[in-house]
Amino acid sequence: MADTTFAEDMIDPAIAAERRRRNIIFAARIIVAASAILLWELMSPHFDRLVISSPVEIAARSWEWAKDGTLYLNLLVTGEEILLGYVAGAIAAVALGLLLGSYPTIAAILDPLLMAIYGVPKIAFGPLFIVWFGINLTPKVVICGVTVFFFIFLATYEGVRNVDRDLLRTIRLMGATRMQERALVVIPGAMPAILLGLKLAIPEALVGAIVGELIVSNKGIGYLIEYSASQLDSAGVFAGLFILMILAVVANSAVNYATKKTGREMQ
Amino acid sequence: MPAAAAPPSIRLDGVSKWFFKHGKRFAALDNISAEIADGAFVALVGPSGCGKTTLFNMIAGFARADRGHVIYHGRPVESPNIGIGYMTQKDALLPWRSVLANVMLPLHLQKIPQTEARKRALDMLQRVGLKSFAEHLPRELSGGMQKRAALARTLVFNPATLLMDEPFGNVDIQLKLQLQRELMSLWENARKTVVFVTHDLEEAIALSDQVIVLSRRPGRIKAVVPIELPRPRDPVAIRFEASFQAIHRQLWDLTDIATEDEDG
Repeated sequence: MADTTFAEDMIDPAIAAERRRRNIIFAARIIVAASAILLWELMSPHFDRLVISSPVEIAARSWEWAKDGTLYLNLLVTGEEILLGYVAGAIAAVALGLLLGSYPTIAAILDPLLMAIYGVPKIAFGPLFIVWFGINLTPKVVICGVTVFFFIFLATYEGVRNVDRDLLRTIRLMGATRMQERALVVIPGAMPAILLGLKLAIPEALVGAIVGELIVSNKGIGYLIEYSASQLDSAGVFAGLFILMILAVVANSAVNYATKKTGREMQ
Repeated sequence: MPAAAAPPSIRLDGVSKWFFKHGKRFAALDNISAEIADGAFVALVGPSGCGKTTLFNMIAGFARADRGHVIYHGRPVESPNIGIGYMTQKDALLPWRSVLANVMLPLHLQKIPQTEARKRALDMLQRVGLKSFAEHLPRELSGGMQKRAALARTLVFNPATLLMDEPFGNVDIQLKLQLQRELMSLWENARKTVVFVTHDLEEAIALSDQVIVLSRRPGRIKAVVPIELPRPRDPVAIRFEASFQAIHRQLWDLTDIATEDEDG
């Protein structure tokens, strides 16, 4: 473009104001976070080291773990649990949601059973899954998968139930088969709800995996936290929590990015 | 005018439909008998709740008559009446598909090859004046354009019969007249059987060959009024003809619309 030099003058004042507002929010976020950390650091000599660590110590511990491979090893374990659990739970949930959404009678039959399982806190299944699946990867994947499953299943089911009946009637009269109805109307119609479920289930996947690790494990971020606590090492506990926070942010951004992309393609 | 000798497109043979509410039975439609000739444009008018939409659903095959028969081209309707065009007040365009993809949908379902389907869909969009909006999504169009897109999709696969349930029900009067004009010119070229539900008497008279007046619930046929106005017709200009106004007055006296609030 030849006239980019004039571009600045041509920006809509409303857009410019919105941009300014966003910059202010961004700057303010950094200032708030920095002051909180600074305040914490300054106050930390007054706290009991066994109870609350200091930001510098947490950073040092995180760095130490990153250097000696502790972080990588344990992150890999937790990441694997989350990924496997999430993917398996999501596939099962979408499949069952689509199925039950289109067969209300089967849904009505299974409803009390599903709601009963849904109502039990998934942590309570932990000991059972350990008895069933041992103490390694599998029970964590299963707890994570079960947790994720209900979120995505309910979202998918509702999405399918709320598909516009007029759309279905219209294409049925055009001669669509059951399969075509599903491919052309039910799945695309339910897609926004499914994507929302996939998104809301991310933090739940984290919960599932960490809960599993806290119950019994010898690897993973949950194990790092548990182990540090048993050593009265508060810097280690906080470093573990800090790593989980980063993991949650990364997972959320990944799904945000993916859903945005799919969302755009859907439209 | 439809040829009188041709077998009827739709025959309603003593059709009744009941509903149950709080353990009581209510008749929605009571003993409806009518014949709709092949190629005729028939309007169905009546007060709200008189069962117009129920009757439609039975012709479309989404509901069964509790008594009597709905016969379509000599066969009783027992399952969704595939191949008839169905248009309601809601446009029922697939919101995630472009206008072109929406119009191509019925052709796609009839397994018409892609290039041919595309050509026919674009041709139909041209006829309703939407060719330059082919790649837009439905929500990017105005209400009137969405109606036209829905009309294009209904007509593109050449259905022998069109069921239109207040298709122009919630648009402003100017746009309504324009859409009526477009519908008339498309119909007068193709001469499909059309059953058109409306509670707008003028719309019914301006468009149709015959108006069937239904009574208040339970819906019964109150009158069948032939509309002997010349064709081709301009549904806007015809309103000012004396013959139109005479029919209007006659129909007005037959309906309860004068005491009716709104909607069907």
